[in-house]
Amino acid sequence: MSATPRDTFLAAVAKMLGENPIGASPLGAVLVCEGWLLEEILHSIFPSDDKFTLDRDKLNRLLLNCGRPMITEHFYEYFFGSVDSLEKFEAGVEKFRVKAMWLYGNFRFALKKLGTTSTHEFEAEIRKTEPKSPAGFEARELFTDIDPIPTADLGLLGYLSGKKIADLDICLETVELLDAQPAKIAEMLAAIGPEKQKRISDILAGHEISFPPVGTGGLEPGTLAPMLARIKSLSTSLHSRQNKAIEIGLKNTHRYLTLPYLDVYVATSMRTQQDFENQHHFIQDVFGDPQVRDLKLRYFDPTVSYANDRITKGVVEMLMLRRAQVTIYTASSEDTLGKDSELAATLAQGKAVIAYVPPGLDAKAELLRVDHPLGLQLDITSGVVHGIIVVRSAQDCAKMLRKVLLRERTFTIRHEKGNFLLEEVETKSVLRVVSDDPYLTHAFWTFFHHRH
Amino acid sequence: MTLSIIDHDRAVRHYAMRMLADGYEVKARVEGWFDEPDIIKGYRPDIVARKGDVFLIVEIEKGEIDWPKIKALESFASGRPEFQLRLITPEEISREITDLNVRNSA
Repeated sequence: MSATPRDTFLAAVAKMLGENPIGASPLGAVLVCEGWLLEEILHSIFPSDDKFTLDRDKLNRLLLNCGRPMITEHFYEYFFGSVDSLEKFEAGVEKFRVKAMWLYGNFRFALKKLGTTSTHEFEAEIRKTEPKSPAGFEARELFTDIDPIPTADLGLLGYLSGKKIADLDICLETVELLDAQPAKIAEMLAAIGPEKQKRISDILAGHEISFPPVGTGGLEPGTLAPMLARIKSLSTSLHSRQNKAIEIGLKNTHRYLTLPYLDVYVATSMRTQQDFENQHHFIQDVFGDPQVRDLKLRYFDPTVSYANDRITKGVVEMLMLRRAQVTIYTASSEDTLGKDSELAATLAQGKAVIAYVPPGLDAKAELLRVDHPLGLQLDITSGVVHGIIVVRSAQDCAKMLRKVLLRERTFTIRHEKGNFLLEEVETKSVLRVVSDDPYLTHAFWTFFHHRH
Repeated sequence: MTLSIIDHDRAVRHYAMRMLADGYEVKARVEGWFDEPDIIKGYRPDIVARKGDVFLIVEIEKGEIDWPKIKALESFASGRPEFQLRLITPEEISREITDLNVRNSA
């Protein structure tokens, strides 16, 4: 049996109130009036089968009889205006529900907050959900504060990738010692030990330098001198490049620390030179994309920032994350505690995360989009559960970045496994969640607002 | 004068390898190459080398910032004749690094 217009209307009102719209009596759980009065109110809205006449007074009378507060004129105007059809009323309810999920994560509270507040407060709240003009971004100066570092040297800033230099230093020290006292080669190698000698051999082999993995074969003044010269040359070159990269990276960190504003934080983990290069190219692709170039965004590029120790770098990054409006997270095949924590911290601060999942990591993309344990986090100030936007290319990342900053995203609500999910239309990413379980909802909000 | 973390770590590698080749049992803060020295009075020295019954604690100073660690190590070594503390100042390291760079580019 198909639903009558009255059934459809009652289901829409139930949705607006955060009640389960399924069943013969969608408002049954909240109705405080007797059935005949509900009939009278509905009759005034549906005077005949093909007529729908709703105004604020009629809706308020219905809300009053559902034990809910009456709504203001500005609320009614904004969501329903001169609604003259059931379809338009349903669209207004959907518009309200999207904003309710976005702002408050709670339909009932949203109706009370948005429906009863002053015009000024109502407009201030609604403004948080409305598209923003790009003019403010476009009027900025170009972001040219940060000095570049040669791509090939980016890895020299890494604590892990910089280890390559440390390893070469050990080789240099060893060969230098052997070259200085050739009569004691065997004695010194014995002191250094077979394990280290094998490692030295392997490292030097990577530079096409032959060093015995065991014993002293081939190590004599005639071979040690050119070997030493070769390693010195490699080491000098690497140290010189590293020093220059560090000098630029340190200055960049100071510039980042005092930028008047920061739009985007880029969370990543970089272990190898390849990681640095991939990340750097990705950042250039995103921020150089025509979809965001005109916004002149200021972003924290971790590949060109350096601090003398991990703790300082960590503190700098915490501040950058706190200041930025959006975090771009680059997924990798393995989870890494640092950047995964940054993802969660961003959501907990009530800000957007765009997760870029490179090609080939399809399962990871699905995991992040649908059911990663960190994929939903509580905004600790509002109690709203926030999710991640998942993208698969730098171009899509730029597109979503623009939409996030200018609030141009569009949403749909679906109901799944006892939860309302607010889904971003283009990426199908779940960005807000509201539980349909009244027991959980009651306990959640009671303890969320509870203060000792 | 202060020493950068890069130059500090480079100096630790330099001294650790020299002491190792010199027959010491070496523990040093050189990740992946040596076991780390044990913590002394809340601080981990850069190098602790042992030959026979004598322990040599080597600390490469980065600058004044290291004073609490230096005080702790001095206090530890002062009451223990088997422990000798060798402090290497940024000035010494600076000369050493200059030497290294000169040698490297030679």
